[in-house]
Amino acid sequence: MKGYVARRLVLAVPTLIGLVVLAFTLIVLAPGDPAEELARRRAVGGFATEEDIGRARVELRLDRPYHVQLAEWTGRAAQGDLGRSFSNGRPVAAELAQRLPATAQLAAAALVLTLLAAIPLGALAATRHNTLTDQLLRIGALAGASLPGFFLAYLLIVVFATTLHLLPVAGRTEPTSFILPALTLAAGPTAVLSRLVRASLLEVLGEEFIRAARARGIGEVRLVLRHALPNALIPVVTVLGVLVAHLLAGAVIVETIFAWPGVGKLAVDAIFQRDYTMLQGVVLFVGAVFVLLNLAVDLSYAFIDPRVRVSARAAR
Amino acid sequence: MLWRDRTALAGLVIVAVAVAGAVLAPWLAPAPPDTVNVADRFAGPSLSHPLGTDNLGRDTLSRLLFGAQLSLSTAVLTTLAITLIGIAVGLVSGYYGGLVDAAIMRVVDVLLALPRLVLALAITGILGVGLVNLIIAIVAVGWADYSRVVRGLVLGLRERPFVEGARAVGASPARIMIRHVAPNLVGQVIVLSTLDLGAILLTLSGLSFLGLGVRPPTPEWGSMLAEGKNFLDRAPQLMLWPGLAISLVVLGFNLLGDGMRDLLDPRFRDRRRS
Repeated sequence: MKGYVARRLVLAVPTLIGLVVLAFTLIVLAPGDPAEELARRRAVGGFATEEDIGRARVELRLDRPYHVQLAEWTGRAAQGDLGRSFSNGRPVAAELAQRLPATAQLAAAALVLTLLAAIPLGALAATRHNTLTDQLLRIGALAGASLPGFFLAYLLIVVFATTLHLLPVAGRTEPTSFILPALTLAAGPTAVLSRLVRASLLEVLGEEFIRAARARGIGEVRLVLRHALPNALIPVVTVLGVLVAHLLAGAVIVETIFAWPGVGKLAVDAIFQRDYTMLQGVVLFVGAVFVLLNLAVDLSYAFIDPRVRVSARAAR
Repeated sequence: MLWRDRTALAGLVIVAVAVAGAVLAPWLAPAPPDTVNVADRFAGPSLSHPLGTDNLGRDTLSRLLFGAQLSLSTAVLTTLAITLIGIAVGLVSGYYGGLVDAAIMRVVDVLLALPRLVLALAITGILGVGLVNLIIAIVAVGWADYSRVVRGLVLGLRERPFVEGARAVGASPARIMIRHVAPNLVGQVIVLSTLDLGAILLTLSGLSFLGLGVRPPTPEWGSMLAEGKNFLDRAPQLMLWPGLAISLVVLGFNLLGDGMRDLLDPRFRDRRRS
């Protein structure tokens, strides 16, 4: 067990190093000279002198060799300093920290919605295996997975906001503001996850211990809920990481549509403003959150599923 | 075969109809996609405009058909580029092994461990907004999946007698990889690509919707939806048609991909039947 945890922790290190190198190196892709760009944005009337450009170059530390830049950038990033925004001069890290709660709230709401919908629907499909219910759920899942978030968002807005006036169209001002964006965000993952729950539960339901339990006269409902489902949900834990990736990716579009002041909206704004430092910060920040979440998922998996512990011991 | 799988067949039909619409757009479209006629804006369905007109009086059906050209071709092109790069990298990684393999696989690990859309967005932002840069960004972060799968397959194929035979008669590594190993990967890779097509179409149209790729007035489904959303109260159908078009085609690709996977992988075939 300890070995597994240690090995998994060590494995995360090269990924984090790769992430840092990648996030930093992004600026190399910038066409033209970032220092000139920054100086021009600051200068009155958009005309930067050689001196301005020189100063911007020193400030961005573009006057040093690549590896020195990388090392310095990494060091400062480790201390929470991601530089200043190209477009408004504010510290990138502060901007990210300010936007994080909104995205976290939205993603958490969508995750809860996904789990609340996908597990019962998947279980229903598995227990009604090969019936009309199963078929309808299959079609529903296929449709859900094919519906673009940016389309679904407007369908929901038309129905619940502009026609029924039940929920706000956009923004994050009312307590109910999160409902439509969270529903939009949860639709795709719910479709995918419900299929996984169904497949996993079907597999477990075919196993010996279920037949034994059934032979002991345990009722169907209790059999599914107490004996089969907990085992069937183990694979669900492994895909939580992928699920969160979907939610983060979806948040970019959903936050923009619903004017939700989160990290995704921040990223889209940064793209249009060609805010290089902000984009570096977003990649590093979202990437790090993602790597750590996946680490947490993998570690929790070992606690939940004794088989992982055993195979980890055997592998040693 | 594929013909007996009704869902896959449905997928094939949907995709075929969309492709036919795109190819035949110049002949099927009732009007040029960019002819503005402000006097006739927000028109309802009629014989001359089967799906009505938009805020500038342009024919919606024509824009949908011509939009299919760009939406489908960019999705196919992007997927093709991702697939070819993924195969090439995976072949080299799996065939040579050792340090080359280790180095490539670390890069793949990093790419697979990150939320790729966010990375693609950052690349687009730094390169500058536009369709070409958007495709470059999506390709740059998308090939890793294929490389890993192909590498795994190559590791298995590398030791097979026909590869050793080719090596024994002095074939060059490039020739072995292309002539002997690659053909054995085709089936699996096509399934992966087909399953990916829908996701790529969603990503491309989603980012065009945000204004990062194709931009109005060029007809493309994502950008049409972005234009249509401004008239949500007055003419919700302007958003509805491109949205339905994207959803249907993505559904088609997904059905087709699922069917092909079932066909090639007996495990899935048995599971569905059971």
